Amino acid sequence: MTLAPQRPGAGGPAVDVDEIVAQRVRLRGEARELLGVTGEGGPPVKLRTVVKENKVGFYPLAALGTLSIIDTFQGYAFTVLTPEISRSLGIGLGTLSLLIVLKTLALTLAPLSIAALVQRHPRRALVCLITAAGWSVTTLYTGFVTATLILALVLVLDGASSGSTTVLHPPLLMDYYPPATRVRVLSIYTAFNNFGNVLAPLLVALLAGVLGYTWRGVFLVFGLACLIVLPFMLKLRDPGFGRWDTEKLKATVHQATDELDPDDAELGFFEITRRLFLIPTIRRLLAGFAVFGMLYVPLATFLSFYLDEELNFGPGQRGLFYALTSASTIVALALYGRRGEAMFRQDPGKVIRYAGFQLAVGVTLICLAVVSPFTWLTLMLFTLSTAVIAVLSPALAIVTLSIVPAQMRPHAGALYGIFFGGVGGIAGALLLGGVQSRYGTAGALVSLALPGVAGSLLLARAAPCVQPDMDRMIDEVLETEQLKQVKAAGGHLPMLSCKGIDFSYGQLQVLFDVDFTVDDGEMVALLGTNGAGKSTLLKVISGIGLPSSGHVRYRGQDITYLDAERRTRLGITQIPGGRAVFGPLTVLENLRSYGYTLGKERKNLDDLIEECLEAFPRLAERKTSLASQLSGGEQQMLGLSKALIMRPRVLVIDELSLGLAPIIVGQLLEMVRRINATGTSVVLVEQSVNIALNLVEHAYFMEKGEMRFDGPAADLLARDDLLRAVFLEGSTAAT
Amino acid sequence: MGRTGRRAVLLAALAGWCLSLSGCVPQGLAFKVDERLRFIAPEDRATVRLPVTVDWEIEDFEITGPGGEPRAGAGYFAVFVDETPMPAGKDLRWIARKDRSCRESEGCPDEEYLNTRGIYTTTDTVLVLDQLPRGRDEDRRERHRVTVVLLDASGRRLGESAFAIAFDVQRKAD
Repeated sequence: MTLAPQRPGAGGPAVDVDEIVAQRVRLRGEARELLGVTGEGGPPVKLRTVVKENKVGFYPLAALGTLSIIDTFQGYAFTVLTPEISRSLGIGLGTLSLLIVLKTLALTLAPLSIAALVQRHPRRALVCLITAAGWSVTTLYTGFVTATLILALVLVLDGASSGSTTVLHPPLLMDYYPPATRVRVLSIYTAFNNFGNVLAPLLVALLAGVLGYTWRGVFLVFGLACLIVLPFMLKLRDPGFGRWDTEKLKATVHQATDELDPDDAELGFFEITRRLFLIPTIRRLLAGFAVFGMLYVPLATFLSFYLDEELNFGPGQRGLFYALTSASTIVALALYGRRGEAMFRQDPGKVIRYAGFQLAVGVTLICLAVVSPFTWLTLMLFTLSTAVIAVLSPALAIVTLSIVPAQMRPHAGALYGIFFGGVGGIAGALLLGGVQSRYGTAGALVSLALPGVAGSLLLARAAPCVQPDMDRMIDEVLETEQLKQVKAAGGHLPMLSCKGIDFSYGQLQVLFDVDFTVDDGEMVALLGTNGAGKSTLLKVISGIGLPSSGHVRYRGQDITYLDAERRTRLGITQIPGGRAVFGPLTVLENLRSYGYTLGKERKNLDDLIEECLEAFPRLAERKTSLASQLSGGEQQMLGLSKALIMRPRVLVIDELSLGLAPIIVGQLLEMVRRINATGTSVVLVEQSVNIALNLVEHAYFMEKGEMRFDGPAADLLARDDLLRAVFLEGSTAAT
Repeated sequence: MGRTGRRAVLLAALAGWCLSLSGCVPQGLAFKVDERLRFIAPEDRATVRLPVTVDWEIEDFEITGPGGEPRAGAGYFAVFVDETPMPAGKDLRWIARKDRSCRESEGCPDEEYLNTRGIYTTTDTVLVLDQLPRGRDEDRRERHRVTVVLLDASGRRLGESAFAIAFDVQRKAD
């Protein structure tokens, strides 16, 4: 199949898509290796060796790890010293809980804006430093707070700046270090964070218990410690997006940079986020993160209550216990690093399956700990469960971040934070709070088995999707680069191409692997029975519907996930089927409304409206009438005027002739011909085969969501098997 | 100037901002724990029966009682049972700030008003609690927290010092 057969108006040599696909299959294996998935078993190469060979050093890991350590200070100090803050400032526990919710909200939502901030330019390291300075200052200033409002502000600022660790640190590490080391690097980073969980309670115990500092003193010391550490992080530099994977994938296609400017079709923040939700593994993992958050976020709090109420542990003993469990997680992560790396290299899905198993083991250990009759056994089981659950973080992170292109990783991290801390954390607190009020803290801890089992099942469901999604990401990057290469080499790309489009309304799939191409200046007909999927395909083209798989390319650029309004600005305009007008507005107001997307050209709007009225004298006669009072033909004229005003590169017209008198249809088709003659590509969706085929030279025929015919219009007329059941009868009204 | 240099300047600016913030720090903030008051009974986290005698001793504080010229290091005590004390510098009227009927009544909050809310003022270093509110769940441990703060002669809270003790109550019927 060729993307651009030699149709009238096509320029340059045709592109053989089959050749591109074959080349992509050849490249996919190489690309998987670049991502660290070799399919081989056995132990991975030593971390130090890989790091040395690639001259990346351990500084970025140490710097980001240290930042994650000092990030724990404010949160931990606030949690431990809440009663003292309450008594000192005269703030009730209810108000303090509200403030903590505010901070959690900031912590949950800030990553989204941080992801948006860094999505176009690789300045993640700088943002990391600024946010670290932010939380250092807020930690310091917490020690000087005297009023509830200021405390709220400080907590929100701290939450907002701390959000950068989730959203920026793991993606940065993915770009600093080669794929062969990433599971170990993420494990070590998590261990750094857990060391913070050891250090923070010990420091609080030392400062408040031994050295006699109040909560103010503790925050003051922590804030100063953060500020002292910061200068050592100043050498952090952003390595660039996808240095080891996405960029290398691109480089496997070609070495030279092309001259195409991809900015026009670059996805915006919400488009990236929406695109991530369309990846099956991401959807399942986000559900898994939410369930994991339900379990993990409130665990420490309820465990604290359990130790206090059931085991009668004081603050010092609790701090020591947490330090011990956090230390055990460091050991667990150290053991997991190499094993996880080997698993990932063999099969990334295996990492997720194993994570599900670990989650099940973890919650089982928690339940056993609660029912254990011996304190030492209870403590041991709690420690073990914490260690087992801790390794889930790098496991889930490596898979989540490996199946999305480098520039989308901060967004994936932000979604992870929202589902883990926001959705999961809040749901978990509500669930466990409810269970605790009825069955006590022990009952609440046992009830964690519920989200634990659900999380295990969700992770098990996600595992089979990982490899296909990784391949899809590879294909996406490769195809884009191949097409760029073709274009750079002087090859011809079609104006609009849809490839392998699948689309579903909920669970009901209505498009199946649909390919569709329109060349520059070409007019094609898209034919099919009712319910064949024609209008759905148009929705995919115009951006009203997003496909579950496949790609839409416009002038060589991928616009599959671009918003509809941005496609309009790029030159794709759709005239929807039926009455494509604003009924309560007059004809003139309708015409004026089409001008809103013209941008700088809007100053010519009056001239353009005048042209429309000249082209359709009937509209000029009724220019002050409401659009809803126009006849069907007049409404279609008004709808078609959209093309005259917006001057699109591709005009998509749905059911132009439906229910109109032949003479009106003739006038409208004449106008379509004129629009096409100015160089606009036209996609004409029709049920009337005669009308369509008299107008176009190339036709597509759809049936039951599949493309059944793609070829010259004259050839379609010879296909009785396709046309018999449909429309030839009663469609002789044309021309 | 290199990137590291620019970042160092940025950091220095932040440090300067911190220092300027510290200029706005209110006076009288406590950075070290106040150890003047020590509880004698009950022991922290002990299980006790009603009535509970809370006993404490204090150093470097002259117990003068309400009335007279307010001065640092002299005054009396306010004891809060399962209640959050008022902020530093506020008097006990702060407790009733959201109670319109009390605000409009002369002499409110009085001793009875405060006692019904678990708040007691005393010049003694012993307080006997005959009754304590029952927990919602009678099957569970009934934990109470007593917080003592210092008041000056005008009834305002002296500094941020708050001295707290927790104990579990076992009812006689059990």
